[in-house]
Amino acid sequence: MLEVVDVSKTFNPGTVNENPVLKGLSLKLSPGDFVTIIGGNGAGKSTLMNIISGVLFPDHGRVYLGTHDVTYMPEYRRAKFLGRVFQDPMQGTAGDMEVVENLAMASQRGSFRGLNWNLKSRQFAYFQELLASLDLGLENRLHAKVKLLSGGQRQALTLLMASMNQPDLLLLDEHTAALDPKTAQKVMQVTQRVVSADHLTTLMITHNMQQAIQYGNRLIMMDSGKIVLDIAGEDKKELTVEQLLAKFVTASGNALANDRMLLS
Amino acid sequence: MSSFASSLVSGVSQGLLWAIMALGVYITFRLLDIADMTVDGSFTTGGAVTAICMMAGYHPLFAILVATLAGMLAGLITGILTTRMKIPALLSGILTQIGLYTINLRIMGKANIPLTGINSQIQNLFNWQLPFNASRSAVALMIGLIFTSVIIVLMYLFFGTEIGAAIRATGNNPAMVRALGANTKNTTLFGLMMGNALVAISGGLVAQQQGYSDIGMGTGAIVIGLASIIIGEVLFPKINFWFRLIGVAFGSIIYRIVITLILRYSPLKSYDLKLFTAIVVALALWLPYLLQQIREHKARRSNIPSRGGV
Repeated sequence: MLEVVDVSKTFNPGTVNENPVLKGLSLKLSPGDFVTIIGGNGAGKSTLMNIISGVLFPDHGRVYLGTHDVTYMPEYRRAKFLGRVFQDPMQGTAGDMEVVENLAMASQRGSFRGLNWNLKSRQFAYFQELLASLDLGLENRLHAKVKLLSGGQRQALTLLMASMNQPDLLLLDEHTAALDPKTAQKVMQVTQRVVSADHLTTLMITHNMQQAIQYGNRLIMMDSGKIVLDIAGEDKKELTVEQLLAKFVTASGNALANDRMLLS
Repeated sequence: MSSFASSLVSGVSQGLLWAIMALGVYITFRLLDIADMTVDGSFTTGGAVTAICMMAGYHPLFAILVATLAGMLAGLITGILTTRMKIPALLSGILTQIGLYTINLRIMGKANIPLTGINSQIQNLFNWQLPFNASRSAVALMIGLIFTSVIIVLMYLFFGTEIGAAIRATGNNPAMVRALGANTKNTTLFGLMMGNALVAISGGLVAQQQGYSDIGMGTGAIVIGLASIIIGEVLFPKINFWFRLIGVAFGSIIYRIVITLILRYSPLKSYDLKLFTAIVVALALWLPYLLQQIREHKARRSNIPSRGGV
């Protein structure tokens, strides 16, 4: 479904601030995979996400989505293959527009936007049903401005929008990191339901080790621009946070000096 | 009519004609979140193109149509500068505006084209003969009302379409728009073209109404547009998009009435108005921040320590 082949990316090449973020990284996801990616700050997780989504282009290597080579395809064009949820709850929705307007725009992802009405009455029942599935009471707030919703509600809405039209790949970029623990858990429940309902191939970045272990069928740990650990299937199910920490030290060859990851 | 009533009518009819310009500025300033400086140039372009088309004997409505296309072209240039050449939007608008000064003079061939007097055989929308014996200002009122209403309805409809929604969302959250598969470079470009098309229509109508086109007629148009938007937002409730658009038109009318009354009843001359408008807009743009500071100041004053510090 997704294939990243030998991708490298260096920021500020040829300067004193030269920063090789990804160093020949390869990754292949099978259809229906739910892969969690964990790693410290500067491991290259976000850069990988940005290269997959087209915000950045790699210096070397290719990116394939399904049968398409999307390495240099502009962000807006590859959007038809991708559903994305961002770390910042503000980034996935248009705050000054209504809930239903946001959903309608998401339903047009991947198709040409013309002079048809943005809001189509035949879609309302479907939108209401989707919102009701969140169990957040949003089905009664179709015409509320999104900026009036809480961060958790906005993230849940973004999840609905990202999973609409069955994207080939769902990208979750630390989408619960900005939420309080209780809301984060709620959003993860919604995530799990959305992903399993449509068997979406999913790539989720997280800082939370527990989350990385609990969700998905495969766990990848990144360090200094490389994959240092790749655990799937039964091995992953039996994994504990302690084991993961130990594995990380062995794999990366240095002690884990990242408080944020340790604490979470 | 009393002089007060006649200045009121003249204010309203002028306000309606300038409202179309304010609606254009609304597209760029509020929906796209760009302060588009092209406006000062494209307003004059609208007047200039209208004037030469009328001089060449074309129908005054056709002249407005050509002005609309010229305005779109002006917006296209600013759009290319900012989306394709990555020049900051504010600077892109200024560059187009400066360039348009030359182009506008080239279009007109001189700094001022009179459309009345010696050229009185020229057809003019505002010489429209109504079946009843309407005064010139009543005709102006009618034309302004028709144009502004039609444009408000078209804007309302357009921004309810898929592409219209994508343009609105671009000013709100461009990253989201790209993630949902729309090219924000193109939505920005469309918005700038539409905004400047409206500005040029307004310029064309104003030129016909005042009976001449002048190289300086667009100077400060952007500020007048902003003043109209802000007046509209303060006086009109933000219930829905209809109210916002109608609010902008009313803002423009109120601005014109105030200006007309100031000119009539105060010692200020017409050349004092630009400074007056600039000050009013600066104060109005400051207002939200000022109110926030006042609230914070009050909160601090009422936050009295219940016990002493360490």
